[in-house]
This record gives sequence, structure tokens and C-alpha cells, in this order.
Amino acid sequence: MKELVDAIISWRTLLGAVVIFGFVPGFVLRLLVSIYPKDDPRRRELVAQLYTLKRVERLFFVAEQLETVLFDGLPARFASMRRRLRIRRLRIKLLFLKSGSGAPMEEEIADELVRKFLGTASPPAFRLATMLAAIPVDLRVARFILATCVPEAGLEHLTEVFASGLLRPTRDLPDGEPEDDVMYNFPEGVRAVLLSGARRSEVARVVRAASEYASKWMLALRSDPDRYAHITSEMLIPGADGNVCDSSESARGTTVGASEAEFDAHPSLLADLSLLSHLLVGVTDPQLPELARRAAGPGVPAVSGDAWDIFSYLMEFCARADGMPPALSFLDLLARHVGGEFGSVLLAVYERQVGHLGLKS
Amino acid sequence: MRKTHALVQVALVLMAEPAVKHWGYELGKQAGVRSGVLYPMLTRMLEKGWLVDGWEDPAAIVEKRPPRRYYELTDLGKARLGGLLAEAKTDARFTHLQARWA
Repeated sequence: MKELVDAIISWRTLLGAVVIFGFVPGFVLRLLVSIYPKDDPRRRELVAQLYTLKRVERLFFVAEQLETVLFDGLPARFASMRRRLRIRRLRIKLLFLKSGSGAPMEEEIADELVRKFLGTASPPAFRLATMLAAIPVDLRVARFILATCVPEAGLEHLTEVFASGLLRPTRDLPDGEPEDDVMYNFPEGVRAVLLSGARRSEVARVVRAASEYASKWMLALRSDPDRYAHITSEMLIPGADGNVCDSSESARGTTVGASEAEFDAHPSLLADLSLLSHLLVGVTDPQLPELARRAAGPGVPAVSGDAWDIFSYLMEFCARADGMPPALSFLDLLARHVGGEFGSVLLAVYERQVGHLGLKS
Repeated sequence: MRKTHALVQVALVLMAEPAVKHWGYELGKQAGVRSGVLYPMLTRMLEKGWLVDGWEDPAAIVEKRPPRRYYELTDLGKARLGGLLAEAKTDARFTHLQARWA
């Protein structure tokens, strides 16, 4: 032990440190920031910051960043790992909700697709794909997100994402129809895998930007009623009467199985589910059971867990007499309860789904 | 967020020029806060929606270097940090920062 301490504090070690830190600070810093998760913007931020400094200051800057990666990078890395584990569990749950049965094969396919994409894609393209995983995608929105949220990416990166096969059109493009009106979706489970590595603040920013953009665009589209009707019908959740549950059952608050509920794989719905799983996992509050009770009615058994657990649980219940699914009602109550930016993002998702169901919020 | 010296010092710098873009390292230097304390704090502020971030326009950079990340206060951030500074002004723990209030 003594030899080790002596070696660490020896002049030779100090000289070595000065040489390494002093002559190749960029390399050392890049090594240090690799502790951050892959898509963490702080990786680029710290390296960019280094090159704004005078050469003599760089040595001290790099040394200072040792502390930064310990107190900021390591927690971010652990949080990312925890999120991945949770999302893996949740993805199975999502698949179960959609198909009514577990589908481990689809999970493996999603992992494989993302791994392949990660192996060949440039960093800006991967970040762009992660941002797009948080929202329903058409070409218009994709271009907007590219311009506003991923400034380091260009059109070539957008092409990279679309050419990779990760995003697929939800239907064939009929002749004469604007290409921008076609919605794209990720294969099953891919959104969840991509979002598992994203920061909540980044995802929230993209959702906000996309929601603002979509509302402005839809407003402008009102002047063209035919196209408006066509596009909104494309966004609606398919179903015989627009509801996922039988209204007679809903009045009694009966649960229904997933297969019975026809939980259809509409892109915007699945996108929102993936997004909500990302946002709500780990959100706890003593008021959550009370919010669930208010959303679903007093006859519903008490439920505990984080916000996502409760939301998933409420998704199994039929819509109330007014047509409002308890899960959405819970989302609304939660958004108003937490307030702030986080609340406004939840509210945007709620309003989008309420709009798709043709309900008044 | 817990009202710490570091937070008050960073809030003072941010609120001194609430409408401009702040660079991480410069912000830390002006506030006298180490990077290891500053960056986790900036992350929390971003998550709370007090700040928004962005990247410098590469076309506007004269030197040969990558674009830096900047931070801007949101309206929510201005309100929260304004409130925090108002409380800190009357808090005995922060009397040594008196010179910086002006």
C-alpha cells in the first residue's frame, strides 16, 4: 500500500500527469466524458468548452472535469442503466397490452434493429431517431424536429434514419397525395428501446416542440376541410365506435382483457404509450392513489406503485359513461397535480389522445 | 431545489442577465462554483424547466472548434430563481453575498 501511495505522489507520476493532461487534454477529456451515457449532450458540451479555453487553462479544466464526471456523469450513467432495465420490463408490458399475450420475440427483434442501427448510424442520426421516437412522425414533423431540436444534424441524417428501415410508412402513398401526409412508425418495441437511453428533459422538449408545431399546423389546415378531415381521420384511433370499450360495460366499471379491448396498434397511440412509459416510470407521489380513485371511481380497487403502474392498471378499465377512459382521466388529473413543465407535457399528451378519441377535454 | 450557496451564486449570475445565453463553464467561473457542482445543478434546472438549452450556430463560429452548448432562462426559471433570490436576500446564511446583490 505504501509503495502504491509513494508511486502516486512521486514526481514521475506528477510529470506523467502533466504531460498527458497538458499535451493531449482533448483525448483525456474524451476518455473522461465517456462515463456519460452515449447520447448525453454533456459529452459534447465539455469537449466543446475545452477548445474555447487558452492552452494553459486546459490542463486545469480537464482536471476539474474529473469531479464533474464523478458527480454528474456517473449518476447519469447509472440512471440510464436503471431506465434501460425498467423499459425492458415495460416493453413486455406494452406488447402484452397491445396483443394480449407476451411476445418476447418482438422484443428481441426491436433490440436487434436498434443495435444494428446504432452500429452503422452517425451520432446525429441516432440522436435524431431517439427524438423522433418520442412523437408521432410524419415528414413534416421530422423536418421540424431536425431543425429545432437536433441542430447538429442535417437532412443527410434525416435520410439516414429513414433509409435505415427503422421508420416505416403506415400505408402506401396513393398517387397525387402529398408525401408529407403519410405517417411513419417504428417497428414494435423500437420506440421503447430508443427512448430508454433518452433524457427525460430532452424528451419533454421534443414533445413540447412537436405539440406546438402540430397545433399551429392543424390550425392552418382548417382552411382546407377535405385534407383536414383526411389527416385527422388518419390520426384517429381505429375502432368501431371510437371507443376501446363497450359503453354498457364501462358504466359498471368492469375490466376487460386486452384482446377484448381491441387495443389497436395506431402509431400515435403507441408513440404516446412509449412516451408515457418513459415519463411516468419512477414518478411517485402520495396523492397518486387518490388521483386514481378520482379518475376511475370509488368502485375500483385501490392501486399502488408509480404513476406508470397506475396508468397501466387503469388502462384495463372501460371508459366512463362520458366516454372518457379512466387512464386518460388519471393523466389529466396527474398533469394538473404536478403542474409546471412536466405537467404541461402530460397535458399535451392527454389532449392529443382526447382529440383522437373525439372527446372534449 | 435545496437553497444552497452554490445555487444562490448561480442564480445571481443567471438573473444578472436573464435574457442572454449563458455558457456552462463561464457561468461557473462567474458564480465561483466548481464544474462538479454546477453541471448537476444545470441538469436539475433543465429537468425542472427553469432553463432551456441549445447549441451555438456552427456558421457563427470563427475559430476552429465545435459549437458550445448554451443555457437560457425560461419564464418559469426567472420566476423561481427570482423568488429564491428574494428569500436568500433576507437569509442570514447568505449575508456574505451582500456585495453581489447590487
